[in-house]
Amino acid sequence: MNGTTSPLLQVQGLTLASASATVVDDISFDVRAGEVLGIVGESGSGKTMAVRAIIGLLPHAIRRSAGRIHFEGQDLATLAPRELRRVRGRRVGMVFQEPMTSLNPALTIGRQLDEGLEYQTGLSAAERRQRIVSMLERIGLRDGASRLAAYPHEFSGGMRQRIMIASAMLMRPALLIADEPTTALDAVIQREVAQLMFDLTREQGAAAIMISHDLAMVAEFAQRVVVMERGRIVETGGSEEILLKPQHPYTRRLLEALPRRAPARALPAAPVPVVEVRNLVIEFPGRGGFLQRKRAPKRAVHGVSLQVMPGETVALVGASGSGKTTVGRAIAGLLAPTSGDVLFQGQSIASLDASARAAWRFGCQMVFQDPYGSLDPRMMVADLVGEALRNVASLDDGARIERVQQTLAEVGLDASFGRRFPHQLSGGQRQRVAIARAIVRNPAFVVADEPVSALDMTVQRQILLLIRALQDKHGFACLFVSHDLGAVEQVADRVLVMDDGVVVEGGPRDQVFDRAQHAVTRRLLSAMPALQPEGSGFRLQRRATGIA
Amino acid sequence: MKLRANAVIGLALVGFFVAAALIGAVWTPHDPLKINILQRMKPPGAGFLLGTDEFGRDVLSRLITGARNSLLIAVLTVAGAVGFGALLGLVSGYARGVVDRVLMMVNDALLAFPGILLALGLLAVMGPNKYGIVLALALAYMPVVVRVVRGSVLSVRAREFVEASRILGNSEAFTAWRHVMPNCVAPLTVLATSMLGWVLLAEGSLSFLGLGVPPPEATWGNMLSAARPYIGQASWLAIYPGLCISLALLGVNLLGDALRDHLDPQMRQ
Repeated sequence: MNGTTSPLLQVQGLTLASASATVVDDISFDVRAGEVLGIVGESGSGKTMAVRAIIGLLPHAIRRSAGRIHFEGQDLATLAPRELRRVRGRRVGMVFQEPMTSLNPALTIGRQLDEGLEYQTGLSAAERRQRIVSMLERIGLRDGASRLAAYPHEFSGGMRQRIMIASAMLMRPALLIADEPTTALDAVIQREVAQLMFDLTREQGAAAIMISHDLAMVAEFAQRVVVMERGRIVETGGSEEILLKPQHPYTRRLLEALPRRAPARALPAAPVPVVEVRNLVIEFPGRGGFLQRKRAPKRAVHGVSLQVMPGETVALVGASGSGKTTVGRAIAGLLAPTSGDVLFQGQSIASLDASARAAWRFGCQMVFQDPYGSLDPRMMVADLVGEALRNVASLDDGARIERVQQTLAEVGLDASFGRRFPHQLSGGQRQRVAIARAIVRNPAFVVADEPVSALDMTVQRQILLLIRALQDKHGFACLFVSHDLGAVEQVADRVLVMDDGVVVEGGPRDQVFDRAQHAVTRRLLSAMPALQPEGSGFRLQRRATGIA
Repeated sequence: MKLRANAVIGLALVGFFVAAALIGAVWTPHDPLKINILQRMKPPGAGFLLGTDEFGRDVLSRLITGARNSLLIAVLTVAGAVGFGALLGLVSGYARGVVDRVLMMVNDALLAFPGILLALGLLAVMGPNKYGIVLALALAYMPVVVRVVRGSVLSVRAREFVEASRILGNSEAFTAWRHVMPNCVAPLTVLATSMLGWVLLAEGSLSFLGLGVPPPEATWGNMLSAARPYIGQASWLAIYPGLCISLALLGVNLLGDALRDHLDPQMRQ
């Protein structure tokens, strides 16, 4: 990696435009052989389009209007589609964000892994099979040969993403492009998958471009970083220099948006918890196959007990499949407990009479993870929020409209938003609408199920601050369900760690984060390095690995 | 802007046929039922603009009165099939469980019958008349609607905004009606517009078997069926009713697409 060798990939003055706007504006960067380049920036900064242009996978509406893309001695921008196909896959591999949809569900993984090899190399069937099996074993699939006939749905999200990486690396490309390769996975798996990906590129001597909004991960794995804002490169350089000592105000803003631990709050003592869960057990009925008998029910939650005091934020953390979301949904009344009890303000919700039941429905609200899915696409914002007040007899129409406007203002949306449809809003704005809908009737308790994990870092920060501000103002308690320990560290008063349907550790936030006892907690913590401010810059902090 | 042009054409075509049907109730160029053996199978010309049929009846006049019968039967049938089918599909898909299984069992049994055969059976019992045809065809086509709507309901009800509605304390019926149903109308409009075409033709097939609107009353379908033996000598007998059916369908389809786009906020800019 000395300065004299020419770069593997050289992008010069690349400009991409759609009919109405410039998407990428005159950017230049290069990637040297064997190095990892991170591209960071908010959504809409053009980072995905910039790398898609390299391999000629731009959406129809976007065209390259200027610029050159030199790769291994040819200008990819001027290659005929036929020649470009030869570069794609063989010389440049790609891993996409969504492991659930990037493998073809109708083909076995053996077939899919073989496809590229068969098309691009002259290897015999036996040699290809040999290569595939050893690659599958390399990515951690025990007994690779027997899994060749398995279909994608038989694997977890993390394993599918490993298979995607395997399929890209099988071709021994000189450059791997990974677009948010781990964003859809939970924290622990994110780290493992990223580690595997970069181990493989290092072993094969390939270079990589990683697009990610996870700045800590970029700081850990990338040697150099490009920071993009609205289609332009605002800063580029060594990753330590940029991410630990940022100069450009935009980069600083990105880093400052990372969640930080807020000082612990003192909560007023209250006699009765607002929500109490006692020995909650939830089973999902087993599914029978074709001509098969029903299997035994699957137990998702085994006897969880917890309490949430008024005004308190309790975080329920754990890997995917740990049952944390199921607990949240049971408290919100979306799932019926198999056994155990959920109490709202001291009364079991199973035994509530009609009016108490209405009060519980009224006082217990929920904010969902996906702001795209949780708003009815056919309703306008004012109607979406106003619907929550539909059953409030004491409000007439005028008062209802006023209340809606007031709540929209509280979540930072002015009156003009009332007449918009969800698709006209950004992800952050939609989540604000979802929050407005949850708090418009002043609930005592809100379940927030991964409320920020679908959002950009800077937007995450705004939403987390908003939730806290609203909580200070209205005093509702919150169950914050998340795998994102960064966000949890910022908002939680107390933390409960779940694994395999049971709570393995719980306590005040500082205690859990600083003196974790249980191995599961430690594993979660070690998977989440954080960029902590230090002096005028930042420091990459790895957490809790040893045993205290 | 292309979208708008399609909507205008659709509206114009539909408006034209509806106007013809309305005018036909009070005035036609000739008496559509008057038989005149001397004027048999006259080609289109000055006296009879679109020619005459095998009994010497004026084709244009018959098309105009036929418009009323055909459109009435088609619209009522589709409205019935879509209305009841959508309701059953919604209930079935939203309730799931036993309700769903029983409804689907009955529905699939109906679906397994060729629609026209089912209609024939019903008509044989009720005797051929306009409303019998509407009822029979609506019942014959309803199972398709039930299936389509149930499918969309199953996918829509799994979305988070449906759960959000439950958390707000809305009743199941309100949630189904307010949040699930509107998000299922897109496939339904497509289905309804193509169904209109099936009905126009099916009504003709029934006439062919002697179970349609009884002669001498005219419908586009029975005019088309009746033209079959004479197609070599008097092609206009088949061409004009066929053209009416095609243009009416084109109009309805264009209008249906425009309507679907208009109802979907994501298509409006």
